[in-house]
Parts: sequence; C-alpha cells; structure tokens
Amino acid sequence: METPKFQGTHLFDRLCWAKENLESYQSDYRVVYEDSVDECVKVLSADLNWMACALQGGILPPVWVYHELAKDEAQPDFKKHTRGYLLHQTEPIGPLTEKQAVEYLIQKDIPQHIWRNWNEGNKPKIVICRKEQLPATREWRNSWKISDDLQIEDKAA
Amino acid sequence: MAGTIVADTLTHSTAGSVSTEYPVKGSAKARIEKTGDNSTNRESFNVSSLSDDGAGKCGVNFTSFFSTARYVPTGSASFLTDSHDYRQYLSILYHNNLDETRTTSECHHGTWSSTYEDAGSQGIVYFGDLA
Repeated sequence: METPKFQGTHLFDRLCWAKENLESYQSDYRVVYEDSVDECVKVLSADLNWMACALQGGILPPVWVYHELAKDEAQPDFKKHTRGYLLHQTEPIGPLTEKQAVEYLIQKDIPQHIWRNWNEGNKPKIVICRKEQLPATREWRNSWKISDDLQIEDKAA
Repeated sequence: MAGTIVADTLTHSTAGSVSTEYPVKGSAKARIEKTGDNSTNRESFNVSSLSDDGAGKCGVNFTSFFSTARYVPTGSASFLTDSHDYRQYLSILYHNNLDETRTTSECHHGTWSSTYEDAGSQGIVYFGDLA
C-alpha cells in the first residue's frame, strides 16, 4: 500500500491512517541499556504499530525533530511545546529496515548520554540483542546487568 | 484527505449543540495494553516503544508528543496470582514523585505489592493536548 503524501498532516492523523491500513509488526530485537551503574539494565522494545510505520515509510518525522523538541523541553523555563509543528511539517522519512528502525528508536527513546558514548568505558552501556537472548525468567530481574565478557550469541544480560 | 468532514459544531435536533473541540481535545491521545512484565505490548496507539525498567517498572514512549508534561494517564493492572494485592501506582514514580522525570515524550509507571512487582497485565490510556 502506498503511503499518502503526509508532509503537513498532523502526526496523530498519520498514526490513525497507519493503524487502519498497516499490519502491526512485532520485532524480536531488544535494546538492553544501562542508565545508571546503581540500577539494573533497562530493556527497550519497539512498539508493534510504530515498527509498522517505520518499515512502511512516509509517516514518521526524522529523528532530529525529536531531539529539537527534547532540547526545548530541557530549558529551565519550558512550559509548553511551541515547535510541535516540526513533527507535522517536516518531510517524513522513507522506509527503514528493521535494524535501521531500531537504531532510530535508540536515538529517539534512549537518553543521548547513553547512546552517544555507548562504547566508552570498560564495557558497552548499550546492546542490541534478540528477545531469546535475554534471561528466560524474571526471578532476578532487578539484578540484570550487561555481561562483562559479552560475545555474539551469548545472553545479553 | 478523502472522507473528511470539517465542522466546528455538532447539533442535535432537540438536545442542543456541542463544539467538536470537545471530542478533539477530550479523547485519549495514546494507549497501551501490555504484559505485566513489560516484555510485550500487545495493543497500542501513539506509542513508539516500551521500556522494561525492572520488576514492576516501565516507561512508555510516545510517537506524537504531548504539548506539556501535565497530561493524565489512567489505567488498570491485573493480579498475577490470587494471593497478591496488586495496586497500580500510575503517575507515581519510584523516586520521590513523577514530576521529576515525566516528560512530554515518556511516562513511567509501576505496579506495587509491598515492593515493585510485575503484574499479570496492564492497560493505560493518556489524556491531554498534543504538541
């Protein structure tokens, strides 16, 4: 199905169109990241409808738009977004692969201080893995950490 | 867009009129129904991702941001077992209070039973104005 020309259409309305017309897609990718050394790792999973939008193309704004809004919100005198038009007026991005979509999502939904310096320090602070690479039970969920000697095909936490 | 009706007011033959601003501003702007362990969101709208932040804790990220961080989440959580008394502490964050970390793009939630614990499932809707 071809995506309508959405530039200038409110992002919420685009999501309504996507909900009506696209098949949701549940990704097996998970992003494991360490927000604080004193806390267990967090595990990010892409939303199934959002992923459908990312794969389709022509719906989501470029990720820099979200960064601009985040900058606005970080201002001490922030009360309300005044540049929301960036979400709706900026030309949407084209279709992404599943991996590209996960990378986009990392930049959108994970704090920048984590992914910008992901490989600095003694071990990675962020790892993309498959769902089955996570521990099978949640009995020790609050103790999950990124493995010190992480290897491909190993469990990620 | 095909099928669009542009109207500022809806008028009933006898019951009066209502501004279309009511349904536009008053309807939920995001929703999610997910497993209690935060591993899977099963149904959603205007959500980009779900973050499993630990036992009983999660973050929900939005695709279309709210205009302010003063939107209103409400929801429900199911019991994991009959022996647990789960209560959902929506909008109350684990450190002090939600105002410290809630943003226009992300809202944190927790399920509690003497400590933060996974529930059976959770459903949450969000009301507010979009950016």
